[in-house]
Amino acid sequence: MTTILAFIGAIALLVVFHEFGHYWVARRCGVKVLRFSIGFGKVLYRKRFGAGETEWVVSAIPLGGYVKMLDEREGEVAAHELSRTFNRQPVRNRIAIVAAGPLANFLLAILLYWIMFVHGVPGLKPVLGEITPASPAASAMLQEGETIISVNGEPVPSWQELRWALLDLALKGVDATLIGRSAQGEMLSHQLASSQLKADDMDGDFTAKLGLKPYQPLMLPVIGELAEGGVAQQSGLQVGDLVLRADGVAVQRWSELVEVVRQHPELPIHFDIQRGGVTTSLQLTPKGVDESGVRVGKIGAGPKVDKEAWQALLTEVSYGAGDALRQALRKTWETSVVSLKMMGKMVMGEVSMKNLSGPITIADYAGQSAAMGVAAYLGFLALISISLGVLNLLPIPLLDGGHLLYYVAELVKGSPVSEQAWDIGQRIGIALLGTLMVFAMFNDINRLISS
Amino acid sequence: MSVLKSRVITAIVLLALLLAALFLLPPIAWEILVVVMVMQGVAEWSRLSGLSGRKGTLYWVATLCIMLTLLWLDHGSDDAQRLSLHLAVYFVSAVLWLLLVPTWLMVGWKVTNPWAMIFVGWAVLIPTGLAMIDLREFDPSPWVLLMVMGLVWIADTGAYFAGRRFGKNKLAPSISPGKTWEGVIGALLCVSLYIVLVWSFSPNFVYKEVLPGLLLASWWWVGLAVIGDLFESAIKRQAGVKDSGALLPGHGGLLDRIDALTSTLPLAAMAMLFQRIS
Repeated sequence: MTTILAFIGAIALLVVFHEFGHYWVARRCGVKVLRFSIGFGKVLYRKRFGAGETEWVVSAIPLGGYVKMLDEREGEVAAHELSRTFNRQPVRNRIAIVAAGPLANFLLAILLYWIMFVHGVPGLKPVLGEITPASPAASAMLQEGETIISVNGEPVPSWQELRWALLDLALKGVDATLIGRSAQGEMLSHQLASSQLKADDMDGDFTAKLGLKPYQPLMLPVIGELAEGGVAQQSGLQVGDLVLRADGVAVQRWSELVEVVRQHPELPIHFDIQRGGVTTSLQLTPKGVDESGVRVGKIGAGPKVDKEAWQALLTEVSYGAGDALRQALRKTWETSVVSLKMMGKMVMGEVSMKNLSGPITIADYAGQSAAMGVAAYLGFLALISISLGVLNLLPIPLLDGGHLLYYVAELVKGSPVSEQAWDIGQRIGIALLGTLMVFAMFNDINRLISS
Repeated sequence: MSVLKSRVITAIVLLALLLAALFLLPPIAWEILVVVMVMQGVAEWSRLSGLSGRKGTLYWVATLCIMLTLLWLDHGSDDAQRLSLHLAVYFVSAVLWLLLVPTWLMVGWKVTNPWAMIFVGWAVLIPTGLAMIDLREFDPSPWVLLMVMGLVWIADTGAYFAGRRFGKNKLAPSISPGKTWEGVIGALLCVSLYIVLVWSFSPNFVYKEVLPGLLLASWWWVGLAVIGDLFESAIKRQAGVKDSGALLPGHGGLLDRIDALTSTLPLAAMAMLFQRIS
């Protein structure tokens, strides 16, 4: 319950910031603001500061808020105050006032990220995992276990920074000079052909395209967790069991065990296990689960995670005020762009559940270890703030973007767009969106038939 | 007892029963429950369509045969066949809800042809039943189904209370005088909050940047739920009744309760199946 309350409080804060953007610019433009409300519906509390013309209000439903400006469309306005109405403002002022809300959300996100970067963010050390054969990384003679220290002279304290540095160079079409320290402590220098990447490669897992993966500690096939009532538990597996052979195949890593289990949906597997120095064997039948159209086996067991090995890979990176600002700007920009791309993919029906969700990755592990930390909370708030900003810039009726579109049309046309024309425009817009959805659907069906 | 009070009590009892069934029943029992629900829906639908006596019984039996055949085909076929079969069923639903019903509502058709009502009834109820079976199987089971249904319930509830409190501008006075734009906005706000909550507490979203897209999609969903709701109202109005039945105190019939689910669940199931392919 506290979490939910804290959560609603956080959303209220973001909304207040958004409305404050509108308020501030409206005042700068000389518009009379009648009311600033946190929440809407029934007014619970009102206050006026001195002779201020704005009434500050807290209302019953905390799901939003609003700024009420003097406007002839909403009531009679005395003649001497006509110049202070919103609707009589030149169109560029109206655009500024409306756009100020979403912009305030982006500013808040930058501020939150800035605090986060100054405070310190958990990250993964830039230690290389297995190098993909025949990749640019392999040609550059990069080695597994090597820690990257700098890219073209810029130090890279975390994997995230390494990724950004390489992405920057790839976008500029420049090759990278990497300085690294091998597991044995030697200093090495590499020429990585990052300029060879095509635009398509820069989406998604960009470092993997170069042949680089973060290092992961070896995970032994030791049972660390058992799902309550799962196959593994019911068949008598216990926490701490070391699996030696599954289906006659010797397994050395957890991933090998997973592979055997996945290949046996609803088929019995014979396990040889070591428990407390004694070797025994047992039989279990994995549950069949549909995954991306393929039937795979699952037994409801998780690996024993060597916390120390993982901990050794984690690092906390903090920045000076200037660098943190640069990082915050970049992070805000990147998050906005990724959000928009995801949205586009969803509309086109291209996004797969894999993009939306997936197994826990190494980055999540880094994230989870700090799940309760200040950095995670700030990042979470910033992300919601950005989402609010992005959505409000889209041309959706009722939202800021819908109004903006209207004013932009006015700017282009030179005179206000009539309400009727606007209504028709909106209908066409909705029809177009509907058609797009139907189109995307047929596209999917087409793909299905042709495959 | 006031209408609201019996409505709330029924809702709580129904929710408890449904949750128990959702989490505890083995797949085959869940399938039987779904068939029972579809059959109750068909009984109410035939009343709304003016099919009585022998005709009504015939319709009921024919639907039961279709449902059982579908399930029988399901159990006897491999994954690829099952996928195409289900997509075909959902496709019918998509055509109905994305093309036919919007036109129907805009033009204000009166459908007197019993055959048309028979086929529309099937297109409304059968894909919904199938979707309840399909969505329950998606990983993390049964959370996917619960989350999708939750979205529709939240939208319903938000619309009901926002409409009661702020309702002023009628959404479609000729179809359903009780529905208002304020109700729709209430639904959109509540659903948005719901999505943000699910998004922030579910470990299943690895790419957190998906939030704006999710919100946008949820607004589409609310639109679809409203269409489902309005369509049922239009059918009831055409039949000259207030509720589709008297099964549930305060809620009317089963159809009154699941109206918004009939338009959303099949399309949700279709979207999930598509994702599985890609």
